[in-house]
Amino acid sequence: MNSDIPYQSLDLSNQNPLKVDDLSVSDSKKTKFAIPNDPKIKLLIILGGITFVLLVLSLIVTAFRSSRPTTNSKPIPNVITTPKPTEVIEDINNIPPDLKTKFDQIDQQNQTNINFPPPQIDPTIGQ
Amino acid sequence: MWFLILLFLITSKPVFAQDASTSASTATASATATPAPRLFLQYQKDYLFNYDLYQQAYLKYTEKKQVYTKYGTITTQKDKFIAAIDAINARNKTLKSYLLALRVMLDDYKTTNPTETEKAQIELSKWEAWFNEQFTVVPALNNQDDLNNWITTFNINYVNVQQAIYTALVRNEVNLHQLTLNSLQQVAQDIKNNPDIKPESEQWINTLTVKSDLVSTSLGDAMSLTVKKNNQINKFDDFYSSAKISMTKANDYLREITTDLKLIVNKFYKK
Repeated sequence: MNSDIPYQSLDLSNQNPLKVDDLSVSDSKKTKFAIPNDPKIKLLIILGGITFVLLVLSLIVTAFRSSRPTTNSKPIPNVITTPKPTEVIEDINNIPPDLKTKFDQIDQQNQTNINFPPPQIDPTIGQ
Repeated sequence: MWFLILLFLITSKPVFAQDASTSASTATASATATPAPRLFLQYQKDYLFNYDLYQQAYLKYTEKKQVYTKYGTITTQKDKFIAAIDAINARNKTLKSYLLALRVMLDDYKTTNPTETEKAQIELSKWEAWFNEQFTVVPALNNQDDLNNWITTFNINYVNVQQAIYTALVRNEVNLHQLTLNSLQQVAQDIKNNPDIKPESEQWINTLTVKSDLVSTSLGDAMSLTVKKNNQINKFDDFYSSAKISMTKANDYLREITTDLKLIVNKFYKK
């Protein structure tokens, strides 16, 4: 019997090959909330973090923009505006008399409505 | 006393009895002694008078037909036949007077396109002559078989009558719009030549050529619809509503050109 080899006793925690290492237990406790070593999960967590940060930033920017007073805002008109007619107002006086006569004739032609429909007849009379 | 009677006879004007049929038959499309619009109004009046007579005759025929349908006797059949002849005569007079009035109406704007307008007028007068012949043919019909044959002939010819009528209506309106376009082009030229209107107006006037082209295109589209297609010899193709759309477009463009020219003059005229 070799005296260098220490007596193995189950009671000796240091010698028990079946004993779960305290360090590993404590490490597992410490690393319970640590990032797992799987690269896919790491990537997922990073992307989620970036998304969250962007979300927070967008909320901050939106709140900042809405609180900032607009510098180029136009005043809302209080008066209800009526559209101007597209037709030429008949009292335009700045037309030479000779041209005015011709324009009057043209206006009359434009307003002429030729309405002479043919008679409604029954072509089957006698059948 | 004799002197007074003689003086009365010399100075008094003859009085003519109003007769719709004779007044219509003596008229011609080339009458220039009376201004065209007044002549058209007279023929329009004659046409409306004849149309009223036709509607009365048609009502009477409808009643006789209903009685014959109900009783089917020889007497009722004869009454129906006579009523049919009367209604057909009245209808022929109506159509003839309408064709005449329409032919006279074409004179209003004939100067714009005299050749094509004359063609339309010739076609109308051809059918006027045909209806004139029927005033002797129809009263001579004395049995149902002859009447049926005549009705068949009428229905074939009526397709061509409708074609002639609607072609003339489109031609008349196209002539009017063309006249307006010519007037506007003349006004545009007058504006350019007017020394009291600034020369800057010219570049604005030149932009109106696009709308002028649109007017011409719309009028061309309307006239192209009047061309009879080969597969519609026995059936009338009602093209008038489509042609009316094109002509309305042309009229809208003409109004816009008129407005634009007024604005140009208003802006650049030096008082």
